[in-house]
Amino acid sequence: MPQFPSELPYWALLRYAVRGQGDVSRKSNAACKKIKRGDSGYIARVAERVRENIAMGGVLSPCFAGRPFLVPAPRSAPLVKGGLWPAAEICRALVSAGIGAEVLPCLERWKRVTKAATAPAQERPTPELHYETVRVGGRVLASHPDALVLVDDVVTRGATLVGLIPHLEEAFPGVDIRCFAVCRTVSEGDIAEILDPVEGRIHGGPERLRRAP
Amino acid sequence: MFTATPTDLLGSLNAVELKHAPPVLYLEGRRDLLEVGARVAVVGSRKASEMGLARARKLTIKLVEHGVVVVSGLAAGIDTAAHTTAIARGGATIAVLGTPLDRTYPADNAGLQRKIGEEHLIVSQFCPGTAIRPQNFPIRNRTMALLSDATVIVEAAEKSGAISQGWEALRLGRELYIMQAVVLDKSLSWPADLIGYGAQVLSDQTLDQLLDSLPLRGAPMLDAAIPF
Repeated sequence: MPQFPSELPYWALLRYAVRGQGDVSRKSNAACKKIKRGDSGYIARVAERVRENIAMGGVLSPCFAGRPFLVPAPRSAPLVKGGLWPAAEICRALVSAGIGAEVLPCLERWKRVTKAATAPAQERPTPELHYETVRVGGRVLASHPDALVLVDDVVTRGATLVGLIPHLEEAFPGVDIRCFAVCRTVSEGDIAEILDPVEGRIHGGPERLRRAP
Repeated sequence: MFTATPTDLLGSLNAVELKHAPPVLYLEGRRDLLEVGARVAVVGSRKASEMGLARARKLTIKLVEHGVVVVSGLAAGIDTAAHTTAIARGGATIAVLGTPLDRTYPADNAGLQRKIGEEHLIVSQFCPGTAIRPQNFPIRNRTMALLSDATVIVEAAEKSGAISQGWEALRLGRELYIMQAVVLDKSLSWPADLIGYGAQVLSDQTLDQLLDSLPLRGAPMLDAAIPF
């Protein structure tokens, strides 16, 4: 088993109140579902908000600096041939908006894991399980990228991102690797705004992961 | 009868949705059933067991209680149980036909088709006058998966069209659930195949999970313009 990062920076654009019942919280629920469903119009708006943030030198700028290649995080189950891959749709929309050099779909889930969103906390997949159930594949790059951004639709605790980083480090040694998720979950209470670009940290540990914010 | 494209009815489609989307749909009844409430397809065997029919009815009642529009294919067995239970419980139902609107299969369901067309919604991708062909039914299953936010397979033999709908639901990134009793049937290999690609098991414990996964519709402020 590889060494997993004990602290991983990540960037996110939106907040998603998982259990909130307030007006904005319910809107965040609808927004998250649109993204997971691959709503092309909505994902294009997400990319546009990222572009605006970068253009004004906002908090997301360091994440996408240097025209990185964008690597979509695999879904929780193997992909049906030709099937919807929301993270890849997000990557394509970001590239269309002028963010990142190109999409590099080099990570493939070969065995299903439990969805973090629907599992009790103690049954959510660990970084180790994410690592074991994903492999590196796809085309060989003609040129070595200077930077990669691992892109996911939603970050809950961060186990997926932490578990996938070693695959990218092994496949692209020495390359600067960053993490971006469109939505970060807010597990308790309501939120006042959906749009809230942040740079945060995922802290790894032998017992549990902790994400802040 | 009126016609509409899938984009007219569902809004902009992504490339995965467009791949198998029919160019035009023929509809009769309440178009608003595609605009209010989440839609769940309840599908399964034509030659269903008594337990399968009972499970289809139980699930349909739960869906209706939560304001979900029940979608099915007007076939005998599970489909008929889903439609008739939704109607009997005061819910809404959509029949997605493998025939044109001016034909019925099976013929026994002509009265049910008429009632759904008058009070609910029937949908077909086949032009009136088109002959009934066996190959049109799995094509219809793809369209049903597209029109539905989630699909539940209640009971199905190895070659059932419900299974092809399950694969299409997974391809589209829609939620797919398989009844627990079917998953536990060791004589069937298809449930494990679909579960390996992301299908979920539906039980009393996971019904809320299915309901939570459905999109929020009916309140325009939630769906139309999410302000961020």
